[in-house]
Amino acid sequence: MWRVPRRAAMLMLATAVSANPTGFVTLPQADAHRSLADATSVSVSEDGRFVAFTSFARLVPADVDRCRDIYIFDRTTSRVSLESEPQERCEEDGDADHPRLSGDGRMLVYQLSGQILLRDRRTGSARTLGDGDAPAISADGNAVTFVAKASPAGADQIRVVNVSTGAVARVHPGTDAEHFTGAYADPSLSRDGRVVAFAAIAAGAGPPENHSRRPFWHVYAGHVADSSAVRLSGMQARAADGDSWQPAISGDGRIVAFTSTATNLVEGDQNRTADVFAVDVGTGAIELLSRNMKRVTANGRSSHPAVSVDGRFVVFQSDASDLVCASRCRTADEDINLLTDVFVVDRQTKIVRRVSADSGGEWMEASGGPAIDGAGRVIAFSSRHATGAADTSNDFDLYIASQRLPAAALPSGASCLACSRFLLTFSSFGTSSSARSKYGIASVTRPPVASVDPRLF
Amino acid sequence: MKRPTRWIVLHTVIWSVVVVNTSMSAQSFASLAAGDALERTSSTAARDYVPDELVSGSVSPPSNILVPDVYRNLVDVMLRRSATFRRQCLRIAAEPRVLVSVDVSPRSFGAGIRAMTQFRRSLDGRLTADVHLNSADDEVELLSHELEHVIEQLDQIDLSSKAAQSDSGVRRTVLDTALFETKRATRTGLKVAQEMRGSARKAD
Repeated sequence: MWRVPRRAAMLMLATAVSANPTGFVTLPQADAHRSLADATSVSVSEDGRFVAFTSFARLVPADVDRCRDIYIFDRTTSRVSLESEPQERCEEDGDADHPRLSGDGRMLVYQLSGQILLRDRRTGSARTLGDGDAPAISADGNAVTFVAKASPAGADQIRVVNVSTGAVARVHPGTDAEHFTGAYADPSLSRDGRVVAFAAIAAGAGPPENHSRRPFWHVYAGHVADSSAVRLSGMQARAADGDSWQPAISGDGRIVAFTSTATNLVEGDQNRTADVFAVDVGTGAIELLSRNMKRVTANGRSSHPAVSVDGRFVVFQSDASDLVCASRCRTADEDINLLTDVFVVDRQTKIVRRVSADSGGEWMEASGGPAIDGAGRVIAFSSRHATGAADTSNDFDLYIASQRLPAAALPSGASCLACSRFLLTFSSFGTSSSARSKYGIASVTRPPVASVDPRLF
Repeated sequence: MKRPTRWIVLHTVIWSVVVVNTSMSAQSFASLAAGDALERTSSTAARDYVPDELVSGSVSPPSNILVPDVYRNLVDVMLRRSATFRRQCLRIAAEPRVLVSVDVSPRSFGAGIRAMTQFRRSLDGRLTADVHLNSADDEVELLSHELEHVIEQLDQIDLSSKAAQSDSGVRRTVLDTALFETKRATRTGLKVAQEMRGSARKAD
């Protein structure tokens, strides 16, 4: 599977995509019980070539169990490969889940039976990194983070494992790890593994947060080398007045998209519904992404953001019906299905587009759990929408959409064939992030994100 | 223990309602060793998505949608001519814990009301939908409209909270009641009627 040269692969990829006018490729997940509140079961490699996903369907002969397994789809060769090993028993925690891919798709991390497994697809080797859940991997494949579950003697931890050296780092809110006990969730890594974002909630009463009687989940980010992280969901003096979670950090580490029910993060957010925001880690500026055409919060829950390398494109799921059009809509823009759909927002143009629809209009089935590649061009998600005439089971299956980038998003004179070159262009942003941050993150001198520092920890 | 019953009503001006009453009927694994030796990749699992393929082919009338004998022929025609109606029937047929009973008879549902559906959800999860059509000249639109309300219930859409949001496509048609109409059902009914007319013209 690794014999296809990269340049040839990109050419084949473009050819394969253009052959399908709808832009969707589907694969069976056969997941009848997945909740759209669950963590995303899909991951797209940064180069857009590989899509990792979970499936109950037996897609290859070697899949001899009835469990949820991890597969990877190669968009270049149109082949799927079984990545997780068959299990003897399928239980609640016995199914493989939460697959995440490195930038080139070589390294895969996922959770199985409460353990974090790392698989090198080139060598075929696999290793266990520890007990925990919600793993994520850096684009360079050299760092893996996950929530290490509490032992009887301790609390949950955000761990970052250096794959090369085996060194393990802990990252926690604030500067004093001993004074923070609580729960963690949803860690996310920048492409070089230097910056980690996560959600955390303090245990017990703790210091009271403004505007609340209980502690809220907050989103934090920090340099792995520093071990400490600062809160992004609200400024220090004015914390978010609602829960914030599901941080997704851009590859360059500058933008963190997250979900929050808070009403005081931006002006005019008066609802207690979950919305999707993006915070510039350098400046602390927060913007509302799940807003409607009237520039106010959308009329439904939005969550599960995923972000492109430079943070320009953010894909998310939403129950809202007014994200694309609120009234007097063209039929193609109407959202009347009353269900969760997948949207992508271009933070540069502020345009929101619904992804889970086709030329015939919107789908009358729920879609969610999106993932996006580095360029913001390939979006994968799960949907109950029928994949074909034979699909009558109303379960979730995988959809992979390939969208054209706006001309402004591409280098001058480039086509999508230049997406790999495009990523290099993105990476140059890392050198310019010298803004003074009130959160102390950007104040740490950072090398270009494209470089890989072997002294990661 | 009883749960509220929901009614869906169709006005002559398309808007219909859902009435919430208080009455409710309660109600291998194979060898790992063998797997190791088998092929772990496949080139046939993925397929290009083609929208037109979704609802092609024949669909039988779902056994969990009960219609009067005189309407069976109409349902057969709708299944042949309307892709949207086929989608509806496939969705309902895939839910064995749902029973839809269609009744066509002149009834006084209220001013301008053409159709109504009463939902009863039992504690064991079974959903019964009693569809009442009050008109004899637009059954195609009314039936598909009400079946879309059934699917909305299968999708567990909270009409009450949706109606409280602006531009949500759900409207509470009578204040202080749980009488709702949805754009989704309205559009679906009209779409099926349109598909039937278009198909009939092609046949001519």
